[in-house]
Amino acid sequence: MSRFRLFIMLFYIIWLAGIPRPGLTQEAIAIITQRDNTINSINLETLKLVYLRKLMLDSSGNRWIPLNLPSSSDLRQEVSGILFKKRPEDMEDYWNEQYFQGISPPKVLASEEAMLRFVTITPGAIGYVHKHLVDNRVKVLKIISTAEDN
Amino acid sequence: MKVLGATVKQRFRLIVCCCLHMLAAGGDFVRADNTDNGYQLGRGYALGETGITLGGYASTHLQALGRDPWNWNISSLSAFVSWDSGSKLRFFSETEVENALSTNDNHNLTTNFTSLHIERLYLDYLLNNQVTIRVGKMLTPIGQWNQIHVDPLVWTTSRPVATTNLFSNYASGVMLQGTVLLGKRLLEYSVYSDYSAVLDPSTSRVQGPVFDNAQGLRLRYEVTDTLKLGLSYADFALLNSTSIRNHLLGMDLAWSYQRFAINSEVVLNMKDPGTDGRRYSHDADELDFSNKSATLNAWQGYIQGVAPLVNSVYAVARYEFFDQDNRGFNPANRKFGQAEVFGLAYRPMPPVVWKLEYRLGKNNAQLAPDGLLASFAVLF
Repeated sequence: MSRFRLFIMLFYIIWLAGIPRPGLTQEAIAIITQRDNTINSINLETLKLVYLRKLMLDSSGNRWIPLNLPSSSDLRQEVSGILFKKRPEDMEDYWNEQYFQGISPPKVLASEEAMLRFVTITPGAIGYVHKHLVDNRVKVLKIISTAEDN
Repeated sequence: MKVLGATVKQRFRLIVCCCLHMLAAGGDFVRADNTDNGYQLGRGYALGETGITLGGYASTHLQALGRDPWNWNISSLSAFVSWDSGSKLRFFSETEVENALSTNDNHNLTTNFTSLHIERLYLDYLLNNQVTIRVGKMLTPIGQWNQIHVDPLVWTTSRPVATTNLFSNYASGVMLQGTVLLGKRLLEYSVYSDYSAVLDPSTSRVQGPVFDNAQGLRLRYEVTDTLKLGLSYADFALLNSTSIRNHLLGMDLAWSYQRFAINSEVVLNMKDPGTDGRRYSHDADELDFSNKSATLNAWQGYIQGVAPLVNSVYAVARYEFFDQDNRGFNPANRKFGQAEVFGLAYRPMPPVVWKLEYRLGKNNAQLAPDGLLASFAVLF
């Protein structure tokens, strides 16, 4: 093998290794809310209802504001699989029917940092980020490990 | 040189191949930077942070039914206005222009059949997670079709007789509704009391059965991730026959797996003429309740299957049956009707659907005549 070909292949392999692949996220996911929220934990069944907009109020009677990442995000795909066993695209029919009833799907934020910032300043907001990104701006309600969803 | 030339070509091919793959993979990053909060078809347009969302749907029908000349119309232009600012109070309204433009018997365009309706207008108050109070005009919670009946959300242009023939599609009054967990599964419920005769001034202009007053209950249980079962009951009187109480019992099923779906509804309506067994009249027809077995009960129902064919094209088939115990029908002509619908639906994206179907049947000329129907609908 020529050195040129070897160089190109090595470069390509290194570059590929740096690309996050859908469904390959191994890191735990943190479900987060505002620090002032009186709720300290949430289970997956309740979280599913919050994200389906079937459960509108938290235990203090305040409105939940569920947040999503863009549907192309690997993390969004993973969370959708855990909660609904469906891809975000497969939820379109459900949301069309809800829209007909005047109910909108969760608000979408562009990135995990945007999710952290929005949750920090918004009472009732609930979202998800990779565990390693969690800091003291937010409260963690649940950690979902890959072992749990599989 | 030849060897050298081949080496250069191979290197060029390798570099191009790698670059193309990088570009293809890199596209994911570009898309990931966008948010989904801009206008999206089927989601409406949010007016800033006001909590107000504007949207609606449009549909157009082309049909050639029975011996009637073919007909085209813009069947619905509907506007939704919803308000949800994050408080416990929410508002929703739907205003529809029906038959905004249509063809007459001579196939000339006309607006003679145009009408404006307020389809829904209600306030929701979230009492708690299990109870929401709804006040206003709403869709009657009987079965599944009536609550999502608009063209972009259903699979056929024609509507099953059982979903519209025996009860009012709208109720005006108060409803308690909510979702509770039964085990790990959802149970949705609605309990309502209707006072259309008092609260809805538009009832006299509506075609089909209209509640004078009604009370009802609906339950829907999520048996599995793919199967939902529903049960509906309503006790009501219709306008123009207020001395007759109707007791309607309905059952429905919705099963879906990947892109396959089966839906079914069955309703049984029992008329109670009261203790005096008197006759009542509607238009020129009379129903004689002295022969109760012949006239008191009416069964109607359908079962529909949907299966994907290629890409976004689906095959749809439906079987319907219906006792034709409806106002305006002479009891002497009552017959058990049946209809079958075979069609195709093309959904290039979820809020957009093109449909083509053929319907045929037996004793169906009045309620579901034979013929061809086609439509286009979009939720916006």
